[in-house]
Amino acid sequence: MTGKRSNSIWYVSLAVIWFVILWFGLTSGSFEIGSGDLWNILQYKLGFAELKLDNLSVSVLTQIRIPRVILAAIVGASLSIAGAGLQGLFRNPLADPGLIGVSTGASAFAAFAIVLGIPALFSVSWLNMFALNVFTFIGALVVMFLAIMIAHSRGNTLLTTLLLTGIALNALGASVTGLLTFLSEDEQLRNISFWMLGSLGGANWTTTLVLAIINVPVIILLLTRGKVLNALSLGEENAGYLGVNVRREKSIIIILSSLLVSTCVSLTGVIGFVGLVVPHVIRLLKGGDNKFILFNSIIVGSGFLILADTISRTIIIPQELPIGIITSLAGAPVFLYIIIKNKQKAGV
Amino acid sequence: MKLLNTVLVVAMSAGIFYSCTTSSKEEQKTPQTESEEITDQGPRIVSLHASASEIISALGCEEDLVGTDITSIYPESVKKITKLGHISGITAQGILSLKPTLVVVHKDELSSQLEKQLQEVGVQIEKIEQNYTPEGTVRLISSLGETLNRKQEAEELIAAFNKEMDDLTVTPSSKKVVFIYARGAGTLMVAGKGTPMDALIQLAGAQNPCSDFKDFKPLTSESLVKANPDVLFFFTSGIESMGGLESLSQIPGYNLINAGKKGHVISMEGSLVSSFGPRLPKAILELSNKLSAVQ
Repeated sequence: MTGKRSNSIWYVSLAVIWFVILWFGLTSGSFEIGSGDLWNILQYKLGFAELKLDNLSVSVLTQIRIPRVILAAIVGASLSIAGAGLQGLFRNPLADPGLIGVSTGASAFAAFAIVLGIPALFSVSWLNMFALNVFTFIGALVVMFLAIMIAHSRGNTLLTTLLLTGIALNALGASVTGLLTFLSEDEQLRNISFWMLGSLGGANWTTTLVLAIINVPVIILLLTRGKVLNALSLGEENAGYLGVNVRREKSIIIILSSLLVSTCVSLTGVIGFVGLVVPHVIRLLKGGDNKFILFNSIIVGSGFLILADTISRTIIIPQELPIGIITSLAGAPVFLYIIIKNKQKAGV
Repeated sequence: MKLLNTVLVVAMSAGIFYSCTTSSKEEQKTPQTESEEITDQGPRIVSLHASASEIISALGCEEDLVGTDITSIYPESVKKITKLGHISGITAQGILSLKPTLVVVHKDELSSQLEKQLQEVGVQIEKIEQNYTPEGTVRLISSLGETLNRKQEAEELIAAFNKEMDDLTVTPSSKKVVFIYARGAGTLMVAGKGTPMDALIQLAGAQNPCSDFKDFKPLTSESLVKANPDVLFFFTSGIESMGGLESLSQIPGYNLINAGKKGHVISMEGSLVSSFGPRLPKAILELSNKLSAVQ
């Protein structure tokens, strides 16, 4: 099969699957708004039909379900492309957005804010509302710059040092969170563990728009780094010969990826496994072209997270199953299957 | 203030750690003389349950309390007693460093390991039960009175409790009240069946629409809208830790439920809600008053 033809089959099937998932996400939930209702609302909004639904259903759809699905799509795309960028940069398929300690650091800051009662300190109401998010975001940025600074030597970021720094910062973040959970009261403990499990339950138009405004441009910027990553896959020295400003590009990719993870963690908590498994699966299925992996991470990642979130909020109605459990539970077997299949292919 | 608390807890846990390392050495050397010492001094009680601490104090045995868990904060004077931390993290060493003769603990919260360790040293363990009903409270008071040899006081306390309960008039209402325990990155943790909040809401004459699950569970926003509570109920400290009343509007679907449309949000002090001790009539009355205030 030629590359072009297999690519068009790939994209067509991807698009079909993606839209099926989107439709599934929009028509599932504890509030019963099914396919027919969604179709009716769509027609109504376009002016083709009368509204057959009550206002509450429309409100639930437009104020709760749609922002949540969009948030899931952005978070999934962000985490996956960040993972793809870091995997390409480290030339290590096991690199994960959490690698340099950003998410662990962010949760440590969140735990800190919860235990010290930071959100209650501000008198301005909007600051109060987002204090925890802002504090977590700052935490993620602090950890990111700390890691980069430590790994920085004479104008160059040493990737091995960055990895080791990440391990240390991860351990530090985890132990700080552990210490804080020890000091926290029962109620605070529940807030902290919530943060660490991750959830898209807080989705409303404000959170979704904030995330879109920051992350969509960052995703696009990271998307343009495919060529650079391809050059870097030949080794830093060879990439230099190809005219890539290796030092600058390394910093850019690290900062862009970490920024994506930081914003996601600060709004939805830590959602694991997505950033590791999505780019990896694409690489195993379609080879190592970084341009291709980056672009497809957006599609596969967003679809994967919409699906995982829909399951998390519908599998035990009225409760919600933490999304991290779903992403690992659904992702791990697929991951294993592809690894085994690939091994067989390589053996033949 | 919270910072100060945290510092205090750190200092205290360091203190506990120090004292338990020293005392365990002493124990190994002279276990016999120590037990003689204890009998001379009268009972030394460690209470690892908030309601038990409250009742022990009400029975006039507060002087015998040498340590409590971190949730024992009522009455005010109990706060000053050495805190051993949260029940999930309390170790035998920490308890034994206080040289107790009696340890009071909820039967479901006592790990078999801890029980064994305490039994080996010969400390009496009083396992209490609590079922979040007025009758349960009476039973708890009476069993603690028996254990502490304060039957007379227990009877008086029960009589006063029963009188307060009888005097209580609660107007039943069809109001749906949802208790929100915590909020993390988004989802709401809501009190279901088997929680003191669920029991208190019903005792105050109202309904908990989240009764198809047990304990505290995360609730999806859509389910909250479907349940459509008339009143949202929080711990006073809970509202603060979530960023104040204003931040409630951030809860997805808040403006679609009755409670959100009318701003019907109430809060009560945490230990009063969950203790189900002698203050139960007060708690019911307070909740009932707050519910009628938001008509």
